[in-house]
Amino acid sequence: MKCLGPVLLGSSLAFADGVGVDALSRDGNLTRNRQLMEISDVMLGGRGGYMNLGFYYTPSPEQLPLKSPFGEHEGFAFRQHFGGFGAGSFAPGKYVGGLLWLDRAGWDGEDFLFFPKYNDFSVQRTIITWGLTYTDEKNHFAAALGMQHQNLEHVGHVYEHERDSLLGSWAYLRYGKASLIGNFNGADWSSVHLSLDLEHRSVYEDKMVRYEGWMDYLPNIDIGYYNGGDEDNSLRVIWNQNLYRQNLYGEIAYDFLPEVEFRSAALKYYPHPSRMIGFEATCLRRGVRSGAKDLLWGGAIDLLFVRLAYNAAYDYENFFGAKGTFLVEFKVDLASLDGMIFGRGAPQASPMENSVIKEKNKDKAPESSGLSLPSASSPEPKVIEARGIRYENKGGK
Amino acid sequence: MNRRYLAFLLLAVLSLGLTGCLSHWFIETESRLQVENATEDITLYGVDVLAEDSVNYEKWIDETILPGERSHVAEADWVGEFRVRIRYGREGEDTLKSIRALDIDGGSLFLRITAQDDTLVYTFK
Repeated sequence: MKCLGPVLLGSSLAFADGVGVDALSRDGNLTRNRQLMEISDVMLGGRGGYMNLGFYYTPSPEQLPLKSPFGEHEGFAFRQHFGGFGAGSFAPGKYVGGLLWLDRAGWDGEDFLFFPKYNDFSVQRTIITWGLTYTDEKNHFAAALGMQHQNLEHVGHVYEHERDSLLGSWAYLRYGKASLIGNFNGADWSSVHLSLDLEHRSVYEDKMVRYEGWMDYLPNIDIGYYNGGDEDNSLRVIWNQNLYRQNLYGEIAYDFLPEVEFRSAALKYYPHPSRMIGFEATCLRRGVRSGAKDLLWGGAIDLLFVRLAYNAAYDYENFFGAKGTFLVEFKVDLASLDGMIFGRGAPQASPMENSVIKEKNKDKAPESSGLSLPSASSPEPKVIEARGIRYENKGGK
Repeated sequence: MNRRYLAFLLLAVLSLGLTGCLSHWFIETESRLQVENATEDITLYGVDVLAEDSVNYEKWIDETILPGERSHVAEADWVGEFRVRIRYGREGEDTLKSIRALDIDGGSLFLRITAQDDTLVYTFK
């Protein structure tokens, strides 16, 4: 039994399936869309701050080889990602901010941090999304506008011909819990998303006390319509549903165009609704075989600074169809708002001591928050201050 | 400049160096191939890597190697599993093709070709 672990791990490395040339070519459009979906999550609040930083760690060159028409090349698929957002208020309840998302991804013959080898079969692509945001909290309104750029550092000769592009642009509009985000490339549209995030998220309503009620169980629905270019346009609906106390969620994605087909399903468990730690089991239809053999079953564990995944749907879709191997991703993904901290898209903030104190003192002194200094108008509260412990030497030695 | 600053600088350089980009110091990421024609009367016309469709190919060694001669060393990014094709023949006869699936680990490869009747025998050294 003892040697079973290493054998399993070894076999999972040895039988890891390669990433395809097509998947690497398609990734530019996928990344553009994913970045906007993440921005859409962050703009649900539209104020405060957000930071995301991370990269996949794949130590073995046999873990994610490149499958080209010539055979299987040993090397490394990579993705380095960054997302940042910050907004400040310029008038009561009104906020302006800026955001920047950056993904550098591709495949190279060497693993690297900054400087790839740029060999005949490698591809390095950077997608940059930036924008300016405006949020009117009282009127439940938010808008954002920005651009997207694609920079190809290097494209090996087995890939589809691609060029740098500065012409991507996007716009976001939210009223209440309904938001619309559009993505354009030059004069052509790339995708449109209509999102209804109906679930009650107490983190955006300045409530640190956990609300529990029927509004927690409203669904989050995303309807995405994608420009297929030469092929048919596609329509994908994602239904995200709280199943138990915002700890357990179910998510199902269904394609309605060009054909009505199941896409993926996931069961996600967050020990705390702040979503700093999460576990998920996923099932994805790959669209390469027929029947149940086509389904890819997998899962992931998210431990705040590291994410471990095996055949998870997210990695299959966003890491060039990586499957059949254990993936390690080092990352941070934190949003902050009014001193609260939570994961992206989380309905509640993580419990912190100062917010609990704040909440307790709210009833007693509504005009002043618990952390403010005593003012001259109110009588000075009795303060007992302990600076340390002094031991008295009572006789003896 | 004080010592603490220097130590910090050293730590920063070390931590940058240890972030995974060092593996190419001990993993070969390219192959350097030299072919020796050890046959008596067969000429090698070149070594290619063949694509799945058996039509497209990439040249690896693009030179004619006469019996008893060695090719130049050709450096290429072939590390992995590929189908390698050697074009060969006797003078005045048809060109034959020998196709093998080879697992290439990278680094320096010395391939000695001998012949048994009309088929080539590959020996890596």
